[in-house]
Amino acid sequence: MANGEEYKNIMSEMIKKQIVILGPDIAIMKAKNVTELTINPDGEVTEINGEPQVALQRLIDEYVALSGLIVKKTMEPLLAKYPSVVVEQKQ
Amino acid sequence: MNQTNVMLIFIFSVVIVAIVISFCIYIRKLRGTLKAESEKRESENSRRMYELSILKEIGERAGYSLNTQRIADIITGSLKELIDYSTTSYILEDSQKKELLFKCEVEESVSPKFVEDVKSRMVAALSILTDQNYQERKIEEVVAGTILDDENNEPLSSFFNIPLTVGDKVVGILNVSSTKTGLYKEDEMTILYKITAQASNAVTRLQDVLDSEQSKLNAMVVSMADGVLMIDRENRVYVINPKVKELLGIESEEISIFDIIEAFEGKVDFRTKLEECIKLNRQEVVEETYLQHRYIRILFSPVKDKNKETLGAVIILHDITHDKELEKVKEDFTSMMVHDLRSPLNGIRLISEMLQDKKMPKDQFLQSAKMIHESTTNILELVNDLLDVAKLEAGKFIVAKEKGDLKSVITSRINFFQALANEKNIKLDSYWEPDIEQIPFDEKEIVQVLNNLLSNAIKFTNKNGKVTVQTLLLKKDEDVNKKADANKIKWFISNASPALMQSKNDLLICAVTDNGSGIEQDKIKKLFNKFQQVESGKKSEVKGTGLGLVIAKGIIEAHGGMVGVESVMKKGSTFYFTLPLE
Repeated sequence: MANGEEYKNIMSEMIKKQIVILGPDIAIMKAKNVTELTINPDGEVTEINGEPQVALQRLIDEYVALSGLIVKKTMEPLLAKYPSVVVEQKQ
Repeated sequence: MNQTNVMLIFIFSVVIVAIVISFCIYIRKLRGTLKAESEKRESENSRRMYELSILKEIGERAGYSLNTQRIADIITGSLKELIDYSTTSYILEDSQKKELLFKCEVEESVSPKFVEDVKSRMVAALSILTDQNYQERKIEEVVAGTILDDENNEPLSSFFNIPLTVGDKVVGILNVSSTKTGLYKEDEMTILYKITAQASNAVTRLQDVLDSEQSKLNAMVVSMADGVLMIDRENRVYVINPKVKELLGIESEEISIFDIIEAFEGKVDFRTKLEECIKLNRQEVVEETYLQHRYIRILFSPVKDKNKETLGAVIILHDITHDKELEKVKEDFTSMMVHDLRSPLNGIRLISEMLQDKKMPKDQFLQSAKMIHESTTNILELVNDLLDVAKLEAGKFIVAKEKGDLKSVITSRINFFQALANEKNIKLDSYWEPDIEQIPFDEKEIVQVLNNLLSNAIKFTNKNGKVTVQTLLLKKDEDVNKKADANKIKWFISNASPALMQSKNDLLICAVTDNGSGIEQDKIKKLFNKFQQVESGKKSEVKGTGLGLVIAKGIIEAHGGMVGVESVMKKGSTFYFTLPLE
């Protein structure tokens, strides 16, 4: 079971990757739509208010809703780095 | 009027004024809210209209096209109606040319550094999305619109990228950039992602339909024994089948014309041949080239549409290695035949010269006459074999079948070969299934077949070995293994023997089995090939053309039967033939 810190790290890395792919404005705006997260201007997750697993899933859903499943593919190597973190496999 | 009444009137007036003011404020606020909502609705409608108009435009201009560049042009060219920007750009991958196309439309004058910054951010995004390194990749650059200003120091302050996909493949990226900070609102950006996604879906659907149709054509091209390649006028590989990759030794999935040119390097000037074929509108042939240990013949042929416009060229790669080998064996066959005829003829010539000496002793004279007889017999056998093969190949070989006693023919042949078998102390045996009655066959020709099978068996069986001739009746759908067991027959034939599997009628099996060294599987199929026989005969110590089996096969097939061989290394072989009962 991953701890809160691990979730913060994975989500911060995820946002930073999306900043490169999509650009900083849209990547951070979409991340801020996840109400459980507090994010600084660099895209770093500083606080998780709620269930981290739910927050992570919502963050992924935000990006997938924006630019499709292709973005999810870019997250796979990241998720592989944290085997204890489980996300729902939506098609 | 007392003071109390005055106070009441005042309070009442104040309340009335307050109510009126509150009402006015409420009305004003309501108006403001309604105005804001109306503006919001208007803005929403305007965006929807924009979305619809863009999708309509894409549908009209690119609806039947898979050209992602055209779609990118339509989207980036219509953004002015929706948002402010300094530049709109796209970057697309050309997998054929293995390079990137970067196009930037400058709306507000920016510096070259701004454009460079946009490009590098797009390349970085594409690299992550495709998991490939594009940093070193050649980029074709097109910058259009307002002239760039070297003096402008305004940096890239706002931008967003939109991935362009077809199916599950990223084909490029769109970009909107500005010198102004925090310019883009979430809903403005989201709508562009939505439009791009819809355009991608439309292209993907079209691609799926085309893929489905093309898969039928591809299945045919893929299954072709020749390498088939089509290259269009822009030098893109349009069609390629696996045989091309095999013949050229190319392993990569995505193949460009450069891979093909490289594969032919130093052997064929592929580019020139292709250009000549397309430009001069004529077929070009490379008769022979040696590549990857094979000989290949290459045909370049122009491809035209119904209006006779050249679309590109189709290139056929035909593996002629086997033909070349066969050609060599044919040459060897001819020289061997010539040699086999010349040797005895030379002998005859020399002996005839000697015979001119009238003082030759009688015993020497008789010896010479015997040698001439042997030489002419050899020549006659060879010529007869060649004539038989020629007749078989021309389909002029006719058998005269008559019902007869095959058992007595076999017995006679065994008696004939007994002396030869005795020389090697080989046990010559036979088995005849009692139920067999008379069957139709050409006795003279079957004798020739039996002679060949028996002489070969004795020739190739070691001293003290064993050769058996076994004859069995096999009814339609009968199990040959069981039948052989029931008759206590030991041979190498089984239900899987090809000559038996192909038969659908009652038949007679006549088999000659030896306990020799056996024959390797890859050599078995060459046994009945005229040229291969000559080749192996040349290498072995056994004399003769080796055409006996080829002739035997022809004779049996003329009877409506089949010949076959089953062999197990170090245990022995069974050469057999079948004859139909009717």
